[in-house]
Amino acid sequence: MMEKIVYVGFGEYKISEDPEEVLTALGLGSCVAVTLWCPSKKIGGMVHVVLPFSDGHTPSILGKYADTGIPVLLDEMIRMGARKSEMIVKLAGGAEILRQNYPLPKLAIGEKNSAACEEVLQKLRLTIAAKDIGGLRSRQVKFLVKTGEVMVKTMSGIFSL
Amino acid sequence: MPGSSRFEEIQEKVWKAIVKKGSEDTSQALQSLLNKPIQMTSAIMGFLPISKILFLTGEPDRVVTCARLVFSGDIEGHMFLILPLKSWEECKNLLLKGIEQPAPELEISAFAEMANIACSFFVSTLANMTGLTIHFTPPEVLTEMAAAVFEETLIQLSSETQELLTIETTFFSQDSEIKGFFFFIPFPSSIKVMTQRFLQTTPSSGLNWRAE
Amino acid sequence: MKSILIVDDALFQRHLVKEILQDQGFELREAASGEEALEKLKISETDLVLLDITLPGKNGLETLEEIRRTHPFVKVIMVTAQAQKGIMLQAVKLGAEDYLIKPIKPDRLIQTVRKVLELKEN
Repeated sequence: MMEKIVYVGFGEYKISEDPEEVLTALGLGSCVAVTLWCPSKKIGGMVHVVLPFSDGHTPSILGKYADTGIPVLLDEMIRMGARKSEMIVKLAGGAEILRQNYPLPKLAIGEKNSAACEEVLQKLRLTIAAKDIGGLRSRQVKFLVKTGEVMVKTMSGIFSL
Repeated sequence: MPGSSRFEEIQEKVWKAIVKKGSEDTSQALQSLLNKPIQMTSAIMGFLPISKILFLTGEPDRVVTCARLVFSGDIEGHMFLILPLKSWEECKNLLLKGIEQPAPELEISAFAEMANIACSFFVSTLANMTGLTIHFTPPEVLTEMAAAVFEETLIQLSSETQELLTIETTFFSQDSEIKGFFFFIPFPSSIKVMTQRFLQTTPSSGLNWRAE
Repeated sequence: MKSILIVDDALFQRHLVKEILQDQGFELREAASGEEALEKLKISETDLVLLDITLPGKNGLETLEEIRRTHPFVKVIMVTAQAQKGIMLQAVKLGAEDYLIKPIKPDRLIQTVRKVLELKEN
């Protein structure tokens, strides 16, 4: 089988029903990738969350904030036939990238982002099946639409979530 | 309007000359610091959609050592010096020649200084040719997968714009593994200032002979 | 013995300068920031400050201004990779005696330091 890489860019969200597609988020430092997968319909979606809350503003890219990106991803997947009750939810990211010549990361955006994602998911009554959040290193996240598997790559290796 | 497009053409030419001179001076500085001949490709200047930024150094998951410098003053933005790990190993050996088992802090500091010097030469050339005053902060050093090093810049700018003016050059040394990238990314609000300054400085600035 | 304070946030740069100057018969001290430099000036006699322009917190020009106010007889050489005319002009106006451009050449460093301290050539 040929893998088809589909990049989910900064603040974007993508949904796929193509079993060959691999939704991929690159360079996640403080950003968080949230993946939703419906096993019976084999529909998968990923959003690349950049910041926690939109504070009521409608952003130009909906995926940018946890509170706008996650609901819109869920809605569109349901509209395509995915079942909310089956949804398998995973998240990865939310690191504070270490500056080697500075004592501490300057902003705690990573922590705020992952907390916001968890809060939004809880409000939507979605349970998190697996997560890999926090830390001081960036991640690359690949989401296999066929199986719902989430692969996390860091500088030290690859593992399945 | 033909007049304005003619103007833009000239403006582009002059900016190209400025960044060309800037990257030549930067390679000179690196050469003198590393004591090794360093070549630099001529700078590419253009607008890039933010989705393309993560691919700027090629493989987005390749591990690189990166220094980011925040500049401010008449114009604002970020600069990056990025070296693949192997290339940094080689530079490190040149910079810390004669020191047995250098402390990690000294290695990081050596990289920061290399970035400081490279970026300073670029900025000084730009400042001296345009009359702009530009200050910058000491470099922040990180070793990471290439795509991750631009994230903070993108977070800061993603609400303002979907594409960024980037000036990029690649440098290398023919007889070694040394290879790296330099990026100069002004914020969208600064592009106007750069353009206006161009209008004020062109007639008498002597740009032509300097740019040769 | 003349005393020199090396002010640079980069450990590597301080290391280089010390390497070059250590055999020249100076007393050498270091500071990693403008704030630290001003503290060190208070507690120890200093003849010359080698001052980097790009510093975290108080930058080199601000530190220079403060040194001129609190220690008018201490000589200052700015050390910078930023050879911007505007910035150099400002440094001279604020009372720097001379400046050195990074990457520093050993001969030039020794020569400039000796000249500013009014010492005879070796």
